[in-house]
Amino acid sequence: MQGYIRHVAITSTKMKGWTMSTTVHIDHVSVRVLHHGDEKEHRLEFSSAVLLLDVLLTGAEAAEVRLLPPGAAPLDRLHNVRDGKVGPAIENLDEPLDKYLQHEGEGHHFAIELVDAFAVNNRWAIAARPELTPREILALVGLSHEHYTLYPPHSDQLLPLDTPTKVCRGEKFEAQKDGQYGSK
Amino acid sequence: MEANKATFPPGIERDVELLLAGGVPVELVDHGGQCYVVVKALATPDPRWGASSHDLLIAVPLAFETAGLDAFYLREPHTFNGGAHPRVQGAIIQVQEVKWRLVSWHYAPNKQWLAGQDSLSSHIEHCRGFFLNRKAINGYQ
Repeated sequence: MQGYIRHVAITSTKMKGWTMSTTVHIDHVSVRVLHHGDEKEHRLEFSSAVLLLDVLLTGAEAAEVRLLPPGAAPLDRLHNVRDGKVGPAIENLDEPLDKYLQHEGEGHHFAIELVDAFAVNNRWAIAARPELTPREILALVGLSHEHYTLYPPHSDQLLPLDTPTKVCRGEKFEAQKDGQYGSK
Repeated sequence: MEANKATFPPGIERDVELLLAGGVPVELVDHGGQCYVVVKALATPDPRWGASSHDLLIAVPLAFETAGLDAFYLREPHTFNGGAHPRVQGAIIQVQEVKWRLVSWHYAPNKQWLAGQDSLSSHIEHCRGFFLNRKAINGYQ
């Protein structure tokens, strides 16, 4: 079928030199990225065995957007769209697509929400507001402001604990425990 | 069973895997029964240093991560303001045919290692504070 990007998971099982073909049901879905460009719908084909996470990853690839954080566990969200209405973020992305469609009916339309994900060292979190204090930033990534000091990348100028700072999508900070020279 | 296979504290293996997955070049090394982490080309963008990145060697205690990380070794030679850094004066060891000099860089008294919160990643960031001249007690300007 033209106009679709096909993403098929396991289609055969190899056993003792023989390849046993299995019939795979193909689901057609559409994915768009919310508040991104013209929100063009990308039509995708998936084998029913794939996970909703694959819909998110492949949908982002089709739309040429970079999910955050990079890797297999993005914080960006996948929503189901029914009758043009965007539903709540799907919590369990490890659920197979076919099972999801079974209990969600005919909602074969999905939308990706790009969140304001930011990083502190190698920890990622989502900013709830465009500006956060370092105290809030550290708390969101599970670090104590009593132990850690927040800096912009590569800077020696610390960010004052209660002064709000802009937190954009992809923003990076560095949290450091203060050091001392010489004997402890 | 493989003979002489180094065994590392499980916690450090997990931390190394996490950093590698994030694209941070680190390597676990066994040297005479002592576990080390080699951190390759750590970005240290301060113009006073002769290079914009440095290799570090971090000793890992057997009881990691209950026992925390502390200090680090700097791959020699290094230059700082055209000479040697006045605070890089520790003992030299040789690991993997490379000379490393101990840097006596510790956690501030009120910010000691906290098991369960701190990690190899946070220790590396703590070490970067040395290069970036971040808020050091007894520091060098």
